[in-house]
Amino acid sequence: MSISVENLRRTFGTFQALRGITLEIPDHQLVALLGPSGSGKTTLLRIIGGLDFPDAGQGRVLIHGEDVTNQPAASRRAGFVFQHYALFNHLTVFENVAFGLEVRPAATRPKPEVIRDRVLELLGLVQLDGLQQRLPSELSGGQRQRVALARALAIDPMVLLLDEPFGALDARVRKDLRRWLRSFHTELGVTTIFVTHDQQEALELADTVVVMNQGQIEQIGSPQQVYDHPASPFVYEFLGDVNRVRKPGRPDLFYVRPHEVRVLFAGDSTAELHAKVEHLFAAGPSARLTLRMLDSKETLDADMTRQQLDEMGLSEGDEVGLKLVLGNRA
Amino acid sequence: MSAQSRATADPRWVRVLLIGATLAFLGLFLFVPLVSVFVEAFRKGVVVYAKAITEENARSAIFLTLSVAALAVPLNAVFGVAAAWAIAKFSFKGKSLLLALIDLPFAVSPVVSGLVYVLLYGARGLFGDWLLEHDLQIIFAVPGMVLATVFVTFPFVARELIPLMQAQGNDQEYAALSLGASGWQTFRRVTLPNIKWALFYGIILCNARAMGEFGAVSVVSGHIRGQTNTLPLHVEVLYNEYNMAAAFACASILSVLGLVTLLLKTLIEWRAGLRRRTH
Repeated sequence: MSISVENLRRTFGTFQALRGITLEIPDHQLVALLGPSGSGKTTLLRIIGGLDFPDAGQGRVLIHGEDVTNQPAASRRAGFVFQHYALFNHLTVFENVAFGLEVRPAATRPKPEVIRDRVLELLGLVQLDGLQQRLPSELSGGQRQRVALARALAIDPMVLLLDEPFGALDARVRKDLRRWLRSFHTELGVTTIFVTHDQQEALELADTVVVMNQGQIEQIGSPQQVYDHPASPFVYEFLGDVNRVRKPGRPDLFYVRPHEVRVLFAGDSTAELHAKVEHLFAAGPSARLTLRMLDSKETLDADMTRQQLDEMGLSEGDEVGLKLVLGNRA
Repeated sequence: MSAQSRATADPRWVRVLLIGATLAFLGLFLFVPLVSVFVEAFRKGVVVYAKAITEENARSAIFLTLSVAALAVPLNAVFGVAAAWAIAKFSFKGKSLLLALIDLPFAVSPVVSGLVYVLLYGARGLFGDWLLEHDLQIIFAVPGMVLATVFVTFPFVARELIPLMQAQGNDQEYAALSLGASGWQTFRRVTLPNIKWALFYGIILCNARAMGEFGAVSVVSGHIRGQTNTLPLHVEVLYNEYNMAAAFACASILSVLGLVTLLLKTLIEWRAGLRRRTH
């Protein structure tokens, strides 16, 4: 279902968590709210889910065109997955997933057999077959995460809201789950919003990335748009590694990503800048060079392939020439 | 002993000395008095003991003690859960004032709490005339004793729950709400199971204090034998009459009550600990 948020404001005491957020999310999208801590991304997610509310009269939330701003969470059918899962510790996996169906009023509550079938189907969907009698404490982090997801899906949500879904998991599980969630979303097609502070995660997973900073939206766009055409210095610095460079004889600053710095031999006539290799880190297929500019003494990072590095035979202390390859942007 | 605990352990003589001193202290100040209560109670034989605790005034005192506790404890369980819920799960102005107020009964002497009730509800108290007009007696009657007991035992349940509920946070409640549960369903299906053991624990401590309370109840009761004497007050009356065997016999009932409380408390801690480990 489509979601729109209009001019949303939220203050906690004197802290302005959201300062006029307007956002349009089309149906079936997988959207990342990306930003540093304190940027307001979780507050925005909670307001969409009805777990928090905007300042009185300050903005609206619409789900599929219906104004739900003042509706409580219970009537929004927004499946929420919490950062630390918030599973009901005293209930089994089965009871956790069944919860949303069990609490329905008698008139709309499905029959026990129907609930059972639905829960088992969902557990199959999140690949937890056979674990229905376990308690949450008997599961791994990744499994708990998937129980939380199954529990949220049980209410047949109009929208799925995930707060730092992979934040509490170790790097390996995280990567697997990320891939799994992507294909899962493609399969189900439920409009999904997830909050993350990990740019890699946002870029890899989302259809649309919403970059937030200090309670405001800095940029909305596809991963490629926000990465290649950052709308502000903040987005530039937040999305991926970046160097700030001043070209000789020009006053303005350039933002250059490490992979956009071409390393040349010191005597190369096409070199725009000259630097010294201060540190060299080569593990895996690519190498990262930390370079110290000869004139300004500023440092700059550059990426190159291991093959290039080996061909040039560079080592720490060598002098090199640099050329900035800014691709299709100015 | 693992290498680490050996590294932090004190020399043998220090341990023996400390443990010995602790045991001697506990024995002298806790165990010997407790045993002596029972020894004194049975000094003149089982028949005298049995008579002392089944005699009319004693039975009335036991019944009154149980009645007061039966009213005060459920009230405080409800108030305690409500207060802990408000403090742990919401932020509002005056929250620290409320916290301080909950602790007030711990801070003031029970005698003072009793006196306050006399000043408010006594014949010459603030509401005295109104109560007289409507033929309601609170002071020197059971209602006053329940009120005084509620006041003195108020913090037990709330104090037990607040730290636990604060540590648990609101996420599970929010999860329940987002799944469509009503406020009451959330409380009954999520909050209550999570605080179950702490709640039992608080209730048991509250009950022990309610049955053993002397000071506040003494001020408001008026010591009418067979009518407004609870067990602790009855013990005092007997003691003042130099009826030692009967005084100790009744005291032994209170002691058994205390031991049962201790047993229940240990059981609950064991159960709760077990749950924590297996979960």
